[in-house]
Amino acid sequence: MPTLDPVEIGEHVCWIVDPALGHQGYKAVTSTFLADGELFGDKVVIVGSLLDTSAFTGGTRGAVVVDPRSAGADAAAGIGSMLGLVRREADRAGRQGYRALRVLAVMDELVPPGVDVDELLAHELRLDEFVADREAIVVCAYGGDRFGAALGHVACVHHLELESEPRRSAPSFRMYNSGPGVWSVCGAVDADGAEVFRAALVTAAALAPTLRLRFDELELMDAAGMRALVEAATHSRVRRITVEGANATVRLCWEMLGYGTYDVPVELAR
Amino acid sequence: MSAETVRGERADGLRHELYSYSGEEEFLSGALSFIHDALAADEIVLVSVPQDREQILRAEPVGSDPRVLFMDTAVLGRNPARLIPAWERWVVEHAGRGRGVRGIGETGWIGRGAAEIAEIRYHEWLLNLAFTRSPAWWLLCPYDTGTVDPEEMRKISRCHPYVMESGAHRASDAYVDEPFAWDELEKACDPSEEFPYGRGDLAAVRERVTACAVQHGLGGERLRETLVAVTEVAANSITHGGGHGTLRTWVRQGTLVCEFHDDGVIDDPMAGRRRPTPQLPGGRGLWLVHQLCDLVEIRSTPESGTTVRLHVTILPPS
Repeated sequence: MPTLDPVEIGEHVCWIVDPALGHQGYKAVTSTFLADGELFGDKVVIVGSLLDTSAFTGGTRGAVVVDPRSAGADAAAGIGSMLGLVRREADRAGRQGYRALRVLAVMDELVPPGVDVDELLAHELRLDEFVADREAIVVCAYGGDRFGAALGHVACVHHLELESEPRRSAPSFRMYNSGPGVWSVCGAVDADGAEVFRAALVTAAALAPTLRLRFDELELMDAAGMRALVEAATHSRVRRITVEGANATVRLCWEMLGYGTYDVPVELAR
Repeated sequence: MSAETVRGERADGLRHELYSYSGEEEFLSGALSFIHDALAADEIVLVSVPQDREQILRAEPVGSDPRVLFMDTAVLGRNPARLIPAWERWVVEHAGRGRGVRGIGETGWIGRGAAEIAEIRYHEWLLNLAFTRSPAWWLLCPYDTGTVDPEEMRKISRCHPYVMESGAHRASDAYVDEPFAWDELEKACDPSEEFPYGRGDLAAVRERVTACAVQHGLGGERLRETLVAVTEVAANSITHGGGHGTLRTWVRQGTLVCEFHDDGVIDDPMAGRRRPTPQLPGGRGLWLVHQLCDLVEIRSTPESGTTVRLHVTILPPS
């Protein structure tokens, strides 16, 4: 069973809930999340009715519980309204003297079946921007059996992924916001994750007029990853992407593939 | 035979000529005769030879002629698969200036293992295919019979349509226009340890290679470069080789070998030896592999599938 103990302020976490554990899986982890909120003086917001909060030791400990279904909103509004809600609660938490805002979102309830993956990706990237900008922790709980391949997409755009068993097929990179219009990429962008990387970049490009990528923590990027980067720059609104902090191997491969010589809309800065 | 006469016989593409010599003196005599003929016809000569050969040519008066250009082959490393794209670039650069172009290309032979020698021979065979549509140019390939095994020399002769002997140029009697005959791959070490991989397993493939590489002292940027190469080959198995493959790794004589096998077929003999352009949708993976590894062996048939061996020299710790 994973734990939310290591989660810190400024982190956006993808928690993949083991379907075999059912509600027990949510309950055990959420109890500690609530307790930590109280311990550290955080304001806790739970978005989702799946959780029988009365069953937690110590009750909800003053948490704000929002049932997205009770609002009668449609699916898209459900995702969109969550961002508005956490922004408002973050403002309130600051005024109320809390250290930070601590959000647990039960995505199974917020996201309807068959939702457009790009829309989900855009939602998570916006949430990531919010977390980077505010004193907040956001944990997005996804039922491991509900989202299929889309889970791979969304997990990549969180700082941290928590799950009972590591998924072999999960892409090997993460992309997270590290300032206005700046996204850090870590791990390895390879053929397994190139399509997700391209989709994440195109979505991020729609959020800001310029796009800077920090590759300081990127170990390697293969030819498929580099192709995805060039394609995203070519087909997105920003028309140009600046890459900073790439290691010597990434720069070497970039040159070997001719991207440094040809006119491509990506600048690999030193 | 004068250069003018031979030039008149040339069609577009490459005139690929073997020069078997014995010792430094004969090398110098043949190379100088070739260069003098070229300069007499106001052609440019690109010279790509081992460092000791370069030094003796540079010491000659023609060595300072601006039409004789010594190519920096050190940047190419040991992998013979990098030679054709390098010649392609050099020839296009210089043939575009309206002058005839000749080349002298000798590959360092000493210290080469059996796998490297087979790849040099394949490179010679591929040269005949690679430049069929290029501007006309003439490549002289000197081989020192004192260092090359006679049987290997015989095989190399079969790849050269022309030959230079005693300063004269003629069609070769030994040349055979035939499919390339591969030698068997050297026996693998530790063949029992096979790692099967499929979609979503690229990270696991890298972990496997890292474990073997680190154990034998390979790290840092060279390890990262190796991991890019293995990622490319494994991804090719998944995309083009039936969706899965097997990996074996071993270290022999200071070289890390990563062997991949899958059910696909690579039917382009030039695969990975053409410089990719950003406009092309594919063809980058094997190119990168050839650029990053010290040697790449590929065996591919419809009957037995494809085996790719990547060789990476493990440098001793400094």
